[in-house]
Amino acid sequence: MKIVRLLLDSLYKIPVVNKAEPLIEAIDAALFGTTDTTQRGPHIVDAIDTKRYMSCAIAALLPATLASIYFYGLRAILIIAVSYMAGFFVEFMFAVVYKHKIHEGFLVTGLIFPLVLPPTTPLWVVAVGVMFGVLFGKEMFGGTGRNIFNPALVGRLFITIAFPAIMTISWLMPITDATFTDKWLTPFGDTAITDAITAATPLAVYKTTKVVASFPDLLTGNTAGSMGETCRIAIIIGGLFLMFTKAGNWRIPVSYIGSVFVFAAIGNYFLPDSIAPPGFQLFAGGLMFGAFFMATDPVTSPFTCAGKYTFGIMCGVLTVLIRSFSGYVEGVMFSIVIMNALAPLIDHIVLSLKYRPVKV
Amino acid sequence: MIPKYKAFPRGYEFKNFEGQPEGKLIQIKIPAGVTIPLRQGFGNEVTPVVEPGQRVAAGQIIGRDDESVSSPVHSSVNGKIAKIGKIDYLGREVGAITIESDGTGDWQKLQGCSSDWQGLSAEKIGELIYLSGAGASGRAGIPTEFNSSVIAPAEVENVIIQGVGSEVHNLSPDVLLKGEGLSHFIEGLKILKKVMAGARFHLVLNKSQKSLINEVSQLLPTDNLINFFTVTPKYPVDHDEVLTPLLLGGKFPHGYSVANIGVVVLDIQAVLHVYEAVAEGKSLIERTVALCGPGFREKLHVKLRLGSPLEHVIRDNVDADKKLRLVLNSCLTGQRLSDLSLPVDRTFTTVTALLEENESQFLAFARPGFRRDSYSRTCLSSLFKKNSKMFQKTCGTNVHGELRPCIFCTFCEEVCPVSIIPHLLFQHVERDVIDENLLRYKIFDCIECNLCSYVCPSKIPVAEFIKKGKSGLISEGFEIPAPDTALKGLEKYKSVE
Amino acid sequence: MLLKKVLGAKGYKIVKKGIWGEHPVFSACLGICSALAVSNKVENAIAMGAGVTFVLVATAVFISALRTLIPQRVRIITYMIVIASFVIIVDKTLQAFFPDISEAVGPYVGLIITNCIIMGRAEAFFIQNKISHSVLDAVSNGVAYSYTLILIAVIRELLGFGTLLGMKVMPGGWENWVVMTMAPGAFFLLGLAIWIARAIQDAGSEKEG
Ligand code: SF4
Ligand code: SF4
Repeated sequence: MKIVRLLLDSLYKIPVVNKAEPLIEAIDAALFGTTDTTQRGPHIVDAIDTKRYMSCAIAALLPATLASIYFYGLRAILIIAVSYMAGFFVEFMFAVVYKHKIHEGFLVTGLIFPLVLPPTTPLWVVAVGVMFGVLFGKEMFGGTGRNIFNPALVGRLFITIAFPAIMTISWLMPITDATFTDKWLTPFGDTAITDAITAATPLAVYKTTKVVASFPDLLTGNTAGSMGETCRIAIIIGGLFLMFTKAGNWRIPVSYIGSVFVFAAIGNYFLPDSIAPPGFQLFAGGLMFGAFFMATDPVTSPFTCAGKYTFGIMCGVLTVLIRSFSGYVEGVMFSIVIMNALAPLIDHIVLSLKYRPVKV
Repeated sequence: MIPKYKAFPRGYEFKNFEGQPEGKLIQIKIPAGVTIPLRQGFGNEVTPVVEPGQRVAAGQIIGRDDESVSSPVHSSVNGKIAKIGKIDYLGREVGAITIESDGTGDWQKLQGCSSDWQGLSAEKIGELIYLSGAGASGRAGIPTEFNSSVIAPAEVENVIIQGVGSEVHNLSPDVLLKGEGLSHFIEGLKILKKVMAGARFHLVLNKSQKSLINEVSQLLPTDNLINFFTVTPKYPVDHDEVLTPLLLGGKFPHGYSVANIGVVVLDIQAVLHVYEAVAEGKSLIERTVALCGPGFREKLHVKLRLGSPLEHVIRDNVDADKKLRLVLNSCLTGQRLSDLSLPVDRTFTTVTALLEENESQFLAFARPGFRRDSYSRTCLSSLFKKNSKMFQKTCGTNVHGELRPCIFCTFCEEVCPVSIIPHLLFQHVERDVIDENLLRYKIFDCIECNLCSYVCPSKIPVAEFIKKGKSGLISEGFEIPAPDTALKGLEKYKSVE
Repeated sequence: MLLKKVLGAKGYKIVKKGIWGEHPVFSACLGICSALAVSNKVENAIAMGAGVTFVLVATAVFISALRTLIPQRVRIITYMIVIASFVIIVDKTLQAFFPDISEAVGPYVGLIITNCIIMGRAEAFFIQNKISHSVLDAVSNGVAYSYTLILIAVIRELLGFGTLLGMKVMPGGWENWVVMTMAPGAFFLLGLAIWIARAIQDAGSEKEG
């Protein structure tokens, strides 16, 4: 520990290396914590900081991450690694140019992003997507805390529009029974991927054939889908953890999932041809993942309580509508992004209803 | 009498922190010299009525001013006046009388006191309360006919007696009410009832103190003259601004004190002082103070003569090699006590010794946090609700993290006791947008409890920004919105500096 | 500094301002609509840039020469007539000699008439300055517009089609960025370009100040 300390201290002093000061500082702060003390009241403060907050979000993502690694092997690890590296690069460049500290937010973005990708995504597309997301989804607005859209979603949507061929057709069944070599020794996955069964996602299957996937399959993740979105059990465990630690507010997932259920139930009753049954809607596609990990992003969702419920409910309605009546099979990401854009407006309305303007 | 539970939906309960004072009470030796500030507790500064060199007895009035809103101050020791001068009392210059003590412990009785107080007139009781100095208790004094508060006894509609203790460290009511204390307390209640005959009385205790609640409910007069409540000790439920609306409904007159709406809020010790003054003729020369926090060797309660220098009180109880920060009354809003010669006066309830934690901790953010407190449940300590010694939460002055932009986690909004949105206000002030929008978002409702700064994961001094916003608004000519109810004793309230 | 000698102090200043300091697209956000529409391929961008530059110069000459004769109240109409005449010349030339480009650029040539850069410069500069300075200003603004357009077009064509001026340059297996061929791609790139340019301008002015 002492050695690390000495090493860091000397790094600050070496002329060329200390250009990377934000990086050294970030490592320093992460390893050693702060020596600052409170000045005026309050004299003691809560032990949480943004690092702990973000670590909890990452811990909550771990079950889903592990599931995706179990399903897709080395490939999943590579995609996650590339996403982190490219995202960190952008974050780092901005910290250097604009001389601010490296903020912890990208740690979560860098993990959410690969988990919503199809396992076949080429690595360079992963890099492009995450860089675009961090750049246009976050840094452009002034960094963590000021962004309007969830950066991971911006990146994901960008590559969906930019590379429709890659992003919409290449789904894979989880290669659970692939041989060890296929999964772990062929990183670029050519054989593993070409050999694996390309399959449609349950939602796509439903759209064309009206066949509902079986619940055990949906729960354990034995369906095609994005890397981290399929194993719903892992997502639910992580999501509950997230809400327990208060790193994610429970109001949004509850109202989101609840409204999907309610509207799907109503819709399915009246229009059984186009709207899938509610139970299936809940567990299919990216709903669970989106509701727990993307819609809850505190920065891009409304901060008022009423606003949070509104946000969740409208996300739910949009998701059901897009899934049932649009050309796309999945509507979770679109609805969250649309609602991200509306979040400031929702807050504004809630606030102006709650607080009457004062006459001066 | 069975107490009624009042739920307070906001705030934050500080559980199981290290350094709670034990149930032990020791008497501090009479010091060689005391300094008596001429302004102690509520009221204006009084004028000295003694000369340097004059001999005084403990309990003798050495400063009073019957014209302005004030209460007299007393010599707390037998001895000789050494000096009449000025001291710096927590950043404010206050007149003070220094007395050399002769070390004897007896004290002078007030004229006309009687253990059979029932026979005294309300007028006489009021006078005893005034003369004893107990009238300066609470945030706006105990109303008597003698200008000890901004309102007259007849104007009082409600009296709230509270022994909740929602701070991180609290004086234990058990210590105060041990033995005869409890019956004295009940008597004290009855005395107050006689002075403020028109008022309804309310007693609030900490929900978790079961045995005390039991004893009190057995002893309370059954004539339904006192409403008995319990609350969960969620900070800052025992602050006047929160407690009054919680028990009585209505709205706190922000910018004024509870007395202006006819309410008197007192703590248990104030009631005991009243009893001692009226039944025993003892002036306010002694007080119980809790020494808490990890910095003290022994965490206990001490009974001391007012005016004793702080150093005299804590001397035997601290290690010289530890770097300490002494805090008065509250870890959240209390002032730092850096001058050890400061005399302990009527406003002292707890003195907390915190360790200055300016050492960094290796991988602090990834530690499980068995002994760390957090509003979020990101520390494992949140799994252990029991008061076990092993998982006692540490309290030091480290900020535990770096300053970051607000992430809209809304923790501050969830805990804010007055339901305003701290992060919204602070963002306005941070961007220097000081305009009527701040009024619209009710910035003046903030009671400066500092809880929002406590919980913020981004380590933003939210409450400080809000204070800045308030003073900015006032300097720009905005006014604190006037309360809707008519206020009492405004003239007098404004006359107190 | 040869340029400074040739153009004279004022002329040099005008050129510097037009090409960088008061860049029509970056600083004034003029001419954005056509920049978004025709920057999908480099050849279109070149044609468009040349067309706009030509119209700008010609307008500069005319307006500047007539500046004392044009009555104040009808000056906007006069600009329109002058600009429209030259735009028609450009349009017909393109149709005659470069029918492919004319097809691709289509209505945007006609819309040069309403291109804010030309109107803006006419109103802000040509009507108040002598011919030589007006022409310098026109050329530099035209160049600034063109290089911006071409820059964006190069990136868009490379990423969106994998080609440059119609020639395949990207290696085999190249995946086209569909988004780059659509308007959003142009939005992102133009936004990025303006961002970077302003950051550099700010840094420059900080140094000077
Ligand atoms: S805004 Fe004021 S009242 Fe609310 S938590 Fe902060 S300091 Fe306390
Ligand atoms: S607690 Fe801090 S970070 Fe969270 S919303 Fe309030 S000010 Fe923002």
